[in-house]
Amino acid sequence: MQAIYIAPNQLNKLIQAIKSIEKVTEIKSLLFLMADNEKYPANILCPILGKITIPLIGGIFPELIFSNERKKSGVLLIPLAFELKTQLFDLSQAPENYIKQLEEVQKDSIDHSSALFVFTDAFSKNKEPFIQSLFNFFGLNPTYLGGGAGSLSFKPFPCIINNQGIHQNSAVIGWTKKKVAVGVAHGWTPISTPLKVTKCANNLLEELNWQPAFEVYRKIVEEHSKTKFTDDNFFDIAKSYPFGISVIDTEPIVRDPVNLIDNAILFFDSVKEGEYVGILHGNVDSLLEGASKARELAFSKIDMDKNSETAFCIDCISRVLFMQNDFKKELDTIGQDSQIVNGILSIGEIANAEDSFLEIYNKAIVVGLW
Amino acid sequence: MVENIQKELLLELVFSVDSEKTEFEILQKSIPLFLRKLNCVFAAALKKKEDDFEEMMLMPFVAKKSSEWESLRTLLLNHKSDINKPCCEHILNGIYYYAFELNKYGLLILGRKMPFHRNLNHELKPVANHLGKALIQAEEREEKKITDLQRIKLLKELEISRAEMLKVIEEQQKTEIALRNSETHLQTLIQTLPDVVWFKDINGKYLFCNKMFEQFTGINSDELIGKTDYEVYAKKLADIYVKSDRKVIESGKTIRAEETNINKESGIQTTSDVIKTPVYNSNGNIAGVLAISHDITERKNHERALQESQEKYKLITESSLDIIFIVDKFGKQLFFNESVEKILGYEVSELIGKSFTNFIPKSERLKYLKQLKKVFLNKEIVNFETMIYHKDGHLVNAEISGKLVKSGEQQVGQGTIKDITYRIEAEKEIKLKNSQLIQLNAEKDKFFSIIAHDLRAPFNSFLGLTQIMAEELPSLTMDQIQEFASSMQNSAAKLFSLLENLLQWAKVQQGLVPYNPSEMNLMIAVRESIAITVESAKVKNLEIDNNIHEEISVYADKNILQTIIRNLITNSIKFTPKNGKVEITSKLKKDNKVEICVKDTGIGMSQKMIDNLFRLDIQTNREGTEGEGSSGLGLYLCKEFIEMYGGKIWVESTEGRGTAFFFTVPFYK
Repeated sequence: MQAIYIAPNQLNKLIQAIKSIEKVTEIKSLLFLMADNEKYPANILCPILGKITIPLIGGIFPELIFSNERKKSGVLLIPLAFELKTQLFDLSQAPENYIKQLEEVQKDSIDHSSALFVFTDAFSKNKEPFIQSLFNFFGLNPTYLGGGAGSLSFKPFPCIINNQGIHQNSAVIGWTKKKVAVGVAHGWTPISTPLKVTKCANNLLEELNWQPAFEVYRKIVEEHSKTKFTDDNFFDIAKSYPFGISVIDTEPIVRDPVNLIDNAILFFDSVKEGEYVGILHGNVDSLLEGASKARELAFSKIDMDKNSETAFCIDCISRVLFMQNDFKKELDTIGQDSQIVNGILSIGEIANAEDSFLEIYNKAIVVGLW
Repeated sequence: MVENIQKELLLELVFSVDSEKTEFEILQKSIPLFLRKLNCVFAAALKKKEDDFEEMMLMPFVAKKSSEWESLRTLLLNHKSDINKPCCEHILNGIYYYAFELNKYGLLILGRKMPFHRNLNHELKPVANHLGKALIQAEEREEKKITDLQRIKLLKELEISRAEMLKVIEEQQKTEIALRNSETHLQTLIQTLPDVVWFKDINGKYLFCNKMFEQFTGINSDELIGKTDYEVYAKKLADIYVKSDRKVIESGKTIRAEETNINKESGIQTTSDVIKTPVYNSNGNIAGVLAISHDITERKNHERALQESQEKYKLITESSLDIIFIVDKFGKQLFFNESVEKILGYEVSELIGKSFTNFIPKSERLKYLKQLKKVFLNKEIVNFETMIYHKDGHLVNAEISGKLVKSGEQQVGQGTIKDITYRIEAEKEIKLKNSQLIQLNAEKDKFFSIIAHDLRAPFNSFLGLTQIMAEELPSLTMDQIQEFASSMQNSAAKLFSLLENLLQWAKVQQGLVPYNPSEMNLMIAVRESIAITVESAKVKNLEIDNNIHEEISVYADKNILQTIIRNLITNSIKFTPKNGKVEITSKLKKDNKVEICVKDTGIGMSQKMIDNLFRLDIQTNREGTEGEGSSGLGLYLCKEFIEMYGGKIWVESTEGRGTAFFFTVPFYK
């Protein structure tokens, strides 16, 4: 069964769509993805979620992707022909608890050909320890794919969805004994030598090479872009110049600067003191190349006819903000062989593509195929 | 760029090792960093332990359960390090595993999907070595810390023990001093006690006695110590003492008893309240009996006297027919004898402790309280009448007497309550009869004055007429003589009627009028009565209707009934003007009585006349409409007759319209 999109303010259609999905016996579970704009309020949606008989996970994201198109509002239902063993985590709890909880529910979730869908609250402080706990528990057995839920308003709110309702500061997983091919790429390339993070506090980068972070950043970026930073154009410039955490034998892990606080740079996700980071740059072409690479990687891992099946895409919303009208090309790149592309525009992407440690990526594109 | 990155990453790995942390903390930071920075899928730190490795940290945890890891461990256990190689390499299930020496600490295991570049392997060796050194240092620090901690703990424990020992010694010394003081105090106490104290061993030999014992018994302690009761007292007395001692020893319990003593010197017999208690030795066995006894001879004497007094008092109070009570100054009842149950229905326990005002009607309470006050404040002896509620609710007339007495230390009110209900009832009866008698006499006096007055009038007339006849007969004409004779006849008739009524009244008063009721037809009886009065009615052209139902039978004395009917009809004829009507009717009532009505269309009566109609002492007679005479006795006689057989008579009348007399007669079924 194909994915179903329901426009906002069409509650009856949503209910009818859910009922139609439930009637199909082949459908074992559901991805419930909703856009932040004009979202259904919790008091209306929760009763509906509570009545759905098949396992579901999902979240509220800045935007959706349906049939290769951006959707700034509405609900995307992706029926799955495989069962998800779902579990909800309260990320306000101490990280030590996550393993215990996983042991309780997922102790039999061991299979080399498996996948783990993960959606987290993008603004949760315990996101990284949670991801680390997932990797500690599941290891490399499953393919991970997922993303951060939330709103571009940067205000935390309940955005993680499961059968029990909508939750804040939470994460939800769905494990399945189904091989899912994942490809991760971004298309950003370094323009600087590695810089040492000499002082930082979680998401706030204060010093690079013992100098104020923004001073170092500004020098490199202004030289490269030939543009000066002013009081109100930080994001406009910085969106083209993310940071990348160096990793051997693979692309750097991108970190997206979102704001400037005095001379410190605020990221979406954390950087660690002692790490080496580089300043990256990309353009539409390099990003599209990255999208294509992600797609190729995904297809290389699965025996599938490239012309059939749906591609599930987890694309970073900041790529949209960067590419703007050219973003359509990215979706077309993913669906270049007439694939229908459905998915989300998220705040941070979660994937590992089987050959590396599980990471939270920024400004990346994750393509999943099943 | 790649080499730069590699160099920087290696530096990052080196600098990330904080040698000040614990083993666990170092590994907790390093292992994930190795995983991430070196793009590994597996990382672990193993610590050498003789012939095995201890898994210090492993990521992901799930890999620990895999068979792959088991195989790898086995390989690693058997590997021998080669100084020419940077690390040991194994490939299992497509994963490249590298084992680097962590100095002498153990091994760092890294797993990758892709092989490391050879250079990187070599570069990683010193990094792993550095990590190993930090771990060794952390281990040594930990051991030293433990040792130091243990040493400190031991020292502390020693210090504590020493301090405790000193404390114990100090306590012991204090206890000894306290014990010595205590013994001295105890000795003083025992010797100065006003009570007798002695101690015998398990065989009954005296081991100790105090001065009071010597005084009380007249036996010196020198003569006593070491001897048994049989050696000191007479057998009978000794038997008693020994028996109770045995009881204490056998039961192991303290007993209390009264014992008799005889002073050996004076021979005076006394009674003691003795408490005997077993004394145990350090083995927990009974070693002897300790006793303390108090002279209660005087108390016993008092008790005896009190008991005798109480018994006397009880005898007096229990045999009294009246209630004997004691009350305190607050009005609370302290005592009642059993007569309270007979007279008021309460059990004694229901009244004790309660205020007596609760049992007196509200109207009498103030009086009672005033009397109580007189007793307690003025110390008067009081005697008053009041009423008290019986338990079943009715009031009992009572005469209460009371005075102030002393009972022990307190002053109480003591008194009696006499039931005077019968007396009061009798008094009431006498009073009633007296008043009835007085009224009756008053009525009779009045009556006789009226009769005398009524008799005088016709007699005066009669005398006057006879005087004229006697003095002037020759000069009188025949008409005059006729007139005088007629007047005389009238007067005589009136006199006769009055005298007849008088006679009949007298008979009724003396109970000489017989009442012999029988069944009779009412209509016939009325008809016969009417027949006697019909001539009087004809003179005034009055209609007399007998409307009695012909089927009604009554049960009455015929003469009396006809007298009543006749009197009523005669009255109606007298007071009905010419051409009027008199009607006699009957009505059967629910109470098995017949109501007879004699109704006329006469001059009627005022309410005042009606109210006084049946009274002897008020003159209600008046002349008829044609001057007919009336004594007033007729109606009174009717009433007397009717009430004789239990009937009722009443009247309804309207002035100018007529009168109806009603009376009842028993119906005959």
